[in-house]
Amino acid sequence: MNWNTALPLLIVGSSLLPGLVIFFLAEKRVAVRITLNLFGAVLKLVLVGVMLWGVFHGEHYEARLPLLPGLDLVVRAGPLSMLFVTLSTGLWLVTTIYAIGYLEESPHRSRFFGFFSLCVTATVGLALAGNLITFILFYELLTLATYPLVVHRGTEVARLAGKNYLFYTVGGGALLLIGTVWLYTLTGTLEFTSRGFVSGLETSHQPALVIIFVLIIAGLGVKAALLPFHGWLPQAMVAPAPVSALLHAVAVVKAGAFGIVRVLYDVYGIEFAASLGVTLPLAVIASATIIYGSIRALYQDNLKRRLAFSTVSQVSYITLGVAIVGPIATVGGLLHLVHQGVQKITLFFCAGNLAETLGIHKISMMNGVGRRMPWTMTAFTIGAFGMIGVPPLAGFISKWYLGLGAMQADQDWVILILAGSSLLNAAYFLPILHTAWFKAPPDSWLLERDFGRRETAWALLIPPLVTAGLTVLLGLLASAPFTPLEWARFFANQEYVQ
Amino acid sequence: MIILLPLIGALACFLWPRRTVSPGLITSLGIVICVVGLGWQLMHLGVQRHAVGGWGAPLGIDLYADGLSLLMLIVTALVGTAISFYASGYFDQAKARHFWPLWLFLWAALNALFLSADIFNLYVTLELLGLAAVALVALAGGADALSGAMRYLLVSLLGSLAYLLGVALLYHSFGTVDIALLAQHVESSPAVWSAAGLMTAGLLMKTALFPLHFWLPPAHASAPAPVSAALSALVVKGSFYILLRLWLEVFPSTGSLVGEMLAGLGAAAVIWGGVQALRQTRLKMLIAYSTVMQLGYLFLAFSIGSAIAWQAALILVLSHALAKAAMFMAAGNIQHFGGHDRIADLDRVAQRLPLTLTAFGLAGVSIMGLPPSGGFIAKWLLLEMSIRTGKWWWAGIMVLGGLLTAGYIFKVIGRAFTQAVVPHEARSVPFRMEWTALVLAALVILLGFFTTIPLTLMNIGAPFDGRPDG
Amino acid sequence: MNCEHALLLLMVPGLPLLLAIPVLRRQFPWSIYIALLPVVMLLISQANFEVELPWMFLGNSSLAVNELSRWWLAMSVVAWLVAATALYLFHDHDVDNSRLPTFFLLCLSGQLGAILANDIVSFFAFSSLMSYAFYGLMADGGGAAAKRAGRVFLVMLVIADIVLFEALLIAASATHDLEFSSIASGVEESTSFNLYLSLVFVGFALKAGFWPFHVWLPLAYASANRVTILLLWIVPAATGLLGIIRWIPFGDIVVPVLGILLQGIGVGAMLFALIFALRQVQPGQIFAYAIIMVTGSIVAVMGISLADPVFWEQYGRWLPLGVTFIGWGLTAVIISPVWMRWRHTPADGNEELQWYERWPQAVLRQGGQAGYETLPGLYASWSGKWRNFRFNQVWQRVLDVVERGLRLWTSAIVLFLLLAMLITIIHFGFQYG
Repeated sequence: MNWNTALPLLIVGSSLLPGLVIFFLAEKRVAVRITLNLFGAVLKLVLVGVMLWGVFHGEHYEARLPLLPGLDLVVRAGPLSMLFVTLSTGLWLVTTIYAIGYLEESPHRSRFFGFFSLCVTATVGLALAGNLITFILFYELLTLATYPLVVHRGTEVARLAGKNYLFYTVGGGALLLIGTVWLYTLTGTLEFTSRGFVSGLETSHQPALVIIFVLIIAGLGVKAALLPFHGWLPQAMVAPAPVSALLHAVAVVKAGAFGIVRVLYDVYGIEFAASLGVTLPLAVIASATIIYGSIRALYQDNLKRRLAFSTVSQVSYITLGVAIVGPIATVGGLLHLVHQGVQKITLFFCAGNLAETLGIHKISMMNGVGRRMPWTMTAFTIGAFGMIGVPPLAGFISKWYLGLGAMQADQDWVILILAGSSLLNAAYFLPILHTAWFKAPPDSWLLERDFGRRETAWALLIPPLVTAGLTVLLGLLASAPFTPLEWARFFANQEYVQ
Repeated sequence: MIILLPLIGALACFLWPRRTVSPGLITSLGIVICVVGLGWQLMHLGVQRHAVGGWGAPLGIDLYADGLSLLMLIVTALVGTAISFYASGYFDQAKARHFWPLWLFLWAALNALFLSADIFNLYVTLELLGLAAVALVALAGGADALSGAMRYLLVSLLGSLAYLLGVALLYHSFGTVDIALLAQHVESSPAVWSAAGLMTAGLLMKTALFPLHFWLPPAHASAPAPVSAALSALVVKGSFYILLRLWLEVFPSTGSLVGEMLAGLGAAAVIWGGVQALRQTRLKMLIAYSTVMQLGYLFLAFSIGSAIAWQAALILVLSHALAKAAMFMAAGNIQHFGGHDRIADLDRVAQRLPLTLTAFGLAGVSIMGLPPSGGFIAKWLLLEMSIRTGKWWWAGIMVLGGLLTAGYIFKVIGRAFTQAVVPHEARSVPFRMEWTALVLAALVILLGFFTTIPLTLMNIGAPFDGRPDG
Repeated sequence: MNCEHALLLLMVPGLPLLLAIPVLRRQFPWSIYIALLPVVMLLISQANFEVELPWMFLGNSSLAVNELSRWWLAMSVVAWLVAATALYLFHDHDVDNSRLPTFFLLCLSGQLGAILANDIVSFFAFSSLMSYAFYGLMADGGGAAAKRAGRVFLVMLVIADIVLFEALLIAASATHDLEFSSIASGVEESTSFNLYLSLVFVGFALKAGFWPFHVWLPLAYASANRVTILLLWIVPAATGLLGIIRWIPFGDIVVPVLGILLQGIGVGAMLFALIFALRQVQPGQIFAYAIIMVTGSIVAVMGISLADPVFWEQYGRWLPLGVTFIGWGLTAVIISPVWMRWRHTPADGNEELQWYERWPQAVLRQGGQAGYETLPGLYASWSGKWRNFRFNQVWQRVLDVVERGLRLWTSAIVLFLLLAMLITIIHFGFQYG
């Protein structure tokens, strides 16, 4: 087994093995657990860095395991995989630090971190998947690994939220499976190839291909919170903040969006899909989700729920970007995958800080928080402005490409959607900022934990600042080499006939 | 050359001086070794046929091993060993004295069944199997167990009787009971068809296909945990194996209406079993109805009829055996732990018995057909075959079944994570009981990755081509 | 491109940005004056140069100093110096209120950056920074009227940013290089040129407070803090004018329709300002109306230029001069004691909320009540019904009865025999049928 085969497997394994070990640790072994966690996270980051360097220089990484006669399990590195893998790995490290701080006195931490590591394994696995069946394997594994995290607290509310979550995700998984099996019977292969492997079929199969597309996208759309499958996301906010932060704002919904990108580009091929006529309905559904999510977000008073609906809205930008048939729009969609992840995780971290340090869950209780926790609220402000699309933050860059791409592809109505959505984003984010910064604080907070001179624990403060800084850097230095922009362009170039 | 004899002989003679547990365990290991040897032999030498006592067919008893039987033997060996380990921790002295002889006797009957080459021998082993199983069910004592056992006994006898009638008819028509010979000579005549009808119906009764499944839940649920594991995982598979052999070799009629009817009943079983499982409030009843449902899946292959579909059904048999045994063991652990198995009061089992719950969860993954597990592979293959042959309604049934399964599995797991209203005393669970369950469950997950091994094994001797071999 | 020049250019917006962080600022005394140092140095050095920043933003950014920007810089430096002095004089007691200097420095950084920006995206970025920071200046420390002004300004700012974003997109899709010089030549060939023009005008009008988007201006003048008032010309209005001049290639294009429209608006602004100023102004607000009049006249001038490019070539170069001198003049007047005394008469801040301020609140309230849980509400009622359905006694009994029925021996045997016969018959029939 040479290095090229081993590296992808190592990357997947670097969170699986610590996870399995952590399951068996006693509750009291805090230091060991923290060391294992951080070791796994850092190791994975280093390995991903190595792989990035390699792929940039044209190395080929792939590992295969025969599953059935004619089907293999494949993990492979390509530009799209690298985009998502880097995002997940980097954010996992940050979230691990955050989770360590957040759950400091909570019960069942070994179980939590064990499943946490499994989740990251699943995410990285599906990012590196080289064919549709490997993707499905890790996709379902993600569902199974996130369920215990949702019900972690053990209350009745958590159990019902978990039931709701499963109802959606297992159903989605079933649709995905049927679509994939049917596709396999038609094409005989499931390997991801640039420009898709479906276009070689005869035209008599085209109605079947359309139905398969609908099935698969519906299955993926559940995780990606497309209308009308988005209902699980706000309910799942009952989970602890690190879970909401990483999983529901970054890993799970991004896995769904990532899957849609893969299917559109590497299974169907974007131009073939356009000729089938399925891209326009997808773009319309995505647009409807964008607007709907933002409108629902306006009415929420609970901070995490508002952020959840904002996620519903923002993730559909990715779908919209990739459904518009044009290379620039594709770049925009992929960029938004990265940028939205970084921004949203900042917002969730800050929400978690507010809840942990001051007991605040509702926006109406946030008066004057900016004075008490200035660094946290600064990070929140940066994240919020990024969401609205204010330059020079990361969100602006991705919205730019989305808008430009829409214009290039003659889909001017998309620009209206983008404009409306930015307006709505401003409408529900700016009041939060105003309340926090410009209103007078109450005499005492609901539940104040004392941290001395610092505003909150270091482990809770550093992660949002890091990700906020990243938001600024990704926007400011967007055209530097090694940025997501370059990788996205690389991918888009492969997918369109020049 | 023939390592089969010790398999059966050693078991039989070890029966009488039974006092302790260790001979039982040693025998289990011995069986495993023998099976491995047989497998090696098959891979290198092809199909095996051995005449017991030197008397060949058509009069004597022949033993026949091909890939299919090998697979069944492996399943039995694996699960049997696990059950032996589990039982060594489960039973106290008094019960253990009765358990071991009966259990080994059942195992012997099962092995013989898989190796038989003529239908009368099959009848004998089937009957022995049934009797041993009934006795084991009754082992638990208590009114529930006894009435379940009684019902099981009557059902078993009725089924065997029907089967015997069929055997008699066939013997009368063709003068032989050997399967290979029969396959060469069979032709359509009223006698054959009524034989087919009787035998099939009898076997269906014993395999608990809807609507003849009514005896299974009470019997499996009220038996002690290792016995339930053995019953669900192995015993019902015995009669299924016979049905499969007959279907493939003696009555080949792929694509006929009977196949459709069987599959239809299978679909009904899937739905019925799933709905009933969702309604249960006791854990072991839930698992028993889950068995009813999974057996329904097996029968869907009768409609599809291609070689790959049979292979998929067998992978499902393998996975189901491992997973269901693990589940019943986990349920046994929980019952031992809390003194009851009511689902609504599972009182945070997740933290107190993490190994057990993990075993249950992993086994559940396979039963649901989620990746990565053997169950997923089987489901994939069946789905693929049903779409390829154009019978997409079975695909829909399978998907629906998967959703129902997810419903009841997660019902249990969700409750296991939450605090019950009334916490109660907990006893500790022996180490080996938890670990056996976990190992089995882990095996079924690993099966998902290494399915090519069973597939190549079962194809030795090409048992799925509809023609006799050897 | 010289290294020192590049560094100087970068420091002009960069230093205030760094010093905006309170922790850093506390290390230096008189930090605001330090922040203004690079700009002064830039003005003193007479050379014109530019620095390119290929890594920034979308790949084509650059900052530059040229004729046009010098005038604006000159005007701004004076105003900012005076404002900084005012900050130290009047707000020194708010030592823990480090927000005001933070906003101040952020606004400064944005404004200077916008002046120096040589491409359309950098301009947009810096002007956004400037405007949002300006909102902070308005809302902080002022009276109730200023807070209202701030809210209205913010809404207009958001809409303006969106509108200008669309204009940016149009420009970018027409040309690939985003520098102003190429924009000027490239954008006229675009098919959406008229749209582009309209968007630019509307966007900057919203941002800068031109008539008829001027409502917040008088309110701000009435009750904002002193520092903000000093900045009310250069920050929104002057920078907005700079934007229009940069973004639209006057003198090269002829758009008569828009030209006439703009002339009309300009004249209307002037008239409006005149009438209102005479009718019901409060003492402090007179400058607001003065500004409205001035901007109106400039808009009219722009309108004339659109209709007749030659006009621009002849008189256009006076525009920067005019803007600069107005800026200096206003600054001088505002700080004069006379006006300060004038201002002390209390302004009436309790006007009724306008319609455009009332209905967003109403919408939110409505939505909150009615739509809070529509979709989940539906789902909840459905799942409630489903639960009732499932646990419905009838269904339970049916299932139980069937299961028990199957257990009865009679039914079992009957079924069994039926099954056997069925299989037989099917085999039989298949063979002979």
